[in-house]
Amino acid sequence: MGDGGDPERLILPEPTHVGFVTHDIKRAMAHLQQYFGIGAFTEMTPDYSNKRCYGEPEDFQTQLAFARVGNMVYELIQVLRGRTIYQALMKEHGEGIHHLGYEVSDLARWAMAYKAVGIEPIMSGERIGLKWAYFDTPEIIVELLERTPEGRVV
Amino acid sequence: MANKVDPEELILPEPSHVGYATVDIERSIGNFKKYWGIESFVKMVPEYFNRKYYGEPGDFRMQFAFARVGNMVYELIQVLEGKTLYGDFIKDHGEGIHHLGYEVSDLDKWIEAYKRTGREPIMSAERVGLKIVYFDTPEITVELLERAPEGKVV
Repeated sequence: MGDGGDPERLILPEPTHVGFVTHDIKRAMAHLQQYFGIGAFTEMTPDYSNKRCYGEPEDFQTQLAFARVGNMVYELIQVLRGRTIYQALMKEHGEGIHHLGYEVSDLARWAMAYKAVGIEPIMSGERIGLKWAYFDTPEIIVELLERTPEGRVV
Repeated sequence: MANKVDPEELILPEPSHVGYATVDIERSIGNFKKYWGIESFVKMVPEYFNRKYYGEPGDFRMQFAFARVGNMVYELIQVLEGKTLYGDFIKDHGEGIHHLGYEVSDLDKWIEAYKRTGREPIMSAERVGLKIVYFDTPEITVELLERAPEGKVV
């Protein structure tokens, strides 16, 4: 199933994570442990490079917590500083599921394919082994991730 | 990837669907076809019985559209009539991902287990081959589904 989809025809693979934005990641983790039975989260504050938000360089920092259950990863996100697309959602909708994440094999091709239909990346960054970008797709915001083995978390 | 699932300890399996609430299911289907590459959705307006909304008899009816991609099913929901969680969600938050769905083998045991933590079912219904119940878990609304083979859609 992990076929990476087809950027030329905009066929996404199956989603591999659900991104949940929160003001209080400790509370959210505790609730997912209590009511979803998730044993342990892997917490991280990644050192991203090439950070951009709404087309401009931006020095955001986020606290993340990841837990895998079968094929799906829960990603919890709390903003530590800077402008992000997460605050915009929280202001309008409150805390909640913010995006679905998809692992792809060639992020640059996807960015070109979305551009061809008028959809721009709204936030992006890189760290060792991982490049990611959010696209302002209608209905649900899509995060695409191009990962090498050293970029793997859970 | 097989992991322990246990109602007594509230350990949920991996989520098997994402429930998306929309006010215009045809527009959403069009967008998922265009930007996610989903070729076709299975549409249905189920004949539910034993409908309940916050413990009271319910009279809701919904238009659904389902599409599977790998392990995950996208469920689009438009309310046709009656009071529903989806209508409440759209009023409070706008359209968006409303819940995650989990397939379980013994719904009654789960209802008892959530009750012990003070969580009551907030909406429930049955149709041939399927019982569904929503719980107002903190952070993310959970839908549990107990399905017989004839209740399978995609």
